[in-house]
Amino acid sequence: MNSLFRKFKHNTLASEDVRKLRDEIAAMTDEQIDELLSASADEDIVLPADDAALARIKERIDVRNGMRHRGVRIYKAVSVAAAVIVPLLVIAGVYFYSGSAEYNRYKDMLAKEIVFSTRDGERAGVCLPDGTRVMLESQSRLAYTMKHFSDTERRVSMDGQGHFEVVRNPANPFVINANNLEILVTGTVFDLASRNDDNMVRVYLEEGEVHLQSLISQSSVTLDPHMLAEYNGLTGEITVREVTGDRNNIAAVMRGDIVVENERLEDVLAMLGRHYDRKVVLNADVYAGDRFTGCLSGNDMDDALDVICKSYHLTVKHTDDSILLVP
Amino acid sequence: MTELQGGSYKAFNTIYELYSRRVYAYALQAVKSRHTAEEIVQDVFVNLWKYHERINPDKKLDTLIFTIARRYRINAFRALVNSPVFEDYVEYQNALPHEDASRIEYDEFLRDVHMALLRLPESARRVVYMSRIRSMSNSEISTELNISEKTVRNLLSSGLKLLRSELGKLISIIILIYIMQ
Repeated sequence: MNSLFRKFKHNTLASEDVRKLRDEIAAMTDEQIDELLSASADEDIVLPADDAALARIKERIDVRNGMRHRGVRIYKAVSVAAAVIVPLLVIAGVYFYSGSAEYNRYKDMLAKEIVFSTRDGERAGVCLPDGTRVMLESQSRLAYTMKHFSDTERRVSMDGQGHFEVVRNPANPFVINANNLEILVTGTVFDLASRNDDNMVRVYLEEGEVHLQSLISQSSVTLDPHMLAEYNGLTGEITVREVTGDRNNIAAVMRGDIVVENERLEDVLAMLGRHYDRKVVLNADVYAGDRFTGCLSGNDMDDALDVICKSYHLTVKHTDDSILLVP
Repeated sequence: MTELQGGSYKAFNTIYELYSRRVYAYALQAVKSRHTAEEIVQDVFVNLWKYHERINPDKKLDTLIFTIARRYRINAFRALVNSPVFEDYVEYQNALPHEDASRIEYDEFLRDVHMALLRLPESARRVVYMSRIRSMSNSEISTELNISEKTVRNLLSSGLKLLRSELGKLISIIILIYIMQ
C-alpha cells in the first residue's frame, strides 16, 4: 500500500493503479487513512503557502464568520488610465534589454496586481487591456494581474457591483472570480453584483452568453439573456430566474432588494418571512388583502418592515418566535 | 484559549496567524489542489469560530484544531481518490511524453479542463462536467437533465472526444491518445 500511496503523491500512478488505490482506501478506516497521510509528511514536495494566500483565506473566513470587510483604496478615473498604460509601456521596454535582472523585474511586474476601486458614492469607468469596459459602482473593487490577463486567458476578480461590456474573443475566455463563483464569458453585456458581506453574487445578463461555475459546490449554469442568476456564497448553489422591467427594476434586484408589484400585503409578508427565515404575522386583518407595490430591502429586515409599517401605520412587536405587525 | 472561548475575535485572529500555515501544509498532504487545501483551512477555522463557545479552555488548542482538520482532510482525500476527473488526470499524465518538463500539476490540469470545457457545445459540456467532475452516474445525469441514458452515453462519448482535442490545443501537444471509461 505504501508504494501505491507514494506513487499517488509523486503523480506516477499507472492507469491500472487507480482502481487498486481506490479499493485499498475504501477498505481503510479513517484512523488508518490519517496515519497513512501523516506518515508520508517528510517526503513531501512542499508547496509553501505564501502570506498572500493565507491572507486571502483569512478574508474569506472573516466573511463567513460574519465579520464585515471593506477595501478602502481610492482611485480616480484618471489614474485608472495610467495604471493600464504603465504595464504596457514596461513590457515594451523589456524588449530592449537582455540580462536576468530585467527579466526578473518583468516577471515580478507580471505578478503584481492591478486594482481599480471606488469608494462610497464614487463610480468609475474602467478599460481593461483587451478593450473590455467595466462601469464600477460605488464601493467596488476590480483586480487582475498581467500574468493572468493575456492572449490565452483573461482573469479578473471582483468585489462589489459593476456593469460589464466584455470584448468578444471566443479563443480567449474572460473569467471573473467573485466570492468563489467563476463567471466565464466570451463576449457579452451583463451586470454583476458581488458583495462579500452578504455572501450573494448576482449576475444579470443583457446579451451574449455567460457560464457560471461554483468552485464550492460544483453547480454550474449557463445563463440566457434577461435572466438573473443568484449564487449563494455559503452553499455554492445557483438559482436562476427571469427578470423583466426597466433598468430601475434591475438595479433594485442587483442590490438584493425585493421588488413587489401589486401583491396582497399578506403575501408580501409571507415572502419577507421566507426571505429572512422569520415568521412575520399581520395583526390587522383589515389590511390583509390590500395591494402593495414597492421596493423592500433584501439585506436589512428592519428596513423592510419599517417601509411596510410606515405605509399602514403599524408597529413592529417581536415575540420569541415571530414578528407581529400591530396597528 | 480562554479568550477565544469567551468570544474574542482578536484571539481568533492570533490563533489563525499561529496555525494557518500548519493546517495548510497538513491539508496538502492529502489533496492535490491548492484550492481544496485553501478550502480546508477555511472550513477548519470557520468551524473553530462557529463553536468557540463550546471549547474547553483547559484542553490543548493544538489537539482541537487538528482534530477538526483531520475530519475535513480525510473527507477531501476520499473524494479526490474517487473522483473520475482524478482518474482522467492519471491517464493524461501517462499519455504525455515522459520528461519532467511536461509533468503537469493537478491544479493546472483542472483549470485546463475547465477552459477546454468552455469550448464544448452546451449539451455535451453539461454531461461531461456532471460525469467527470461531479462524479455523477449516467442514470443520475439522465434524471437531472431529463434525457435518456442512451443520449447521455452518446453526449459523453462525443464530448470527451472533443474535450481531448481541446485540451490538446490548449497545451500544444500534438497527439493525445488516452481512453476515458
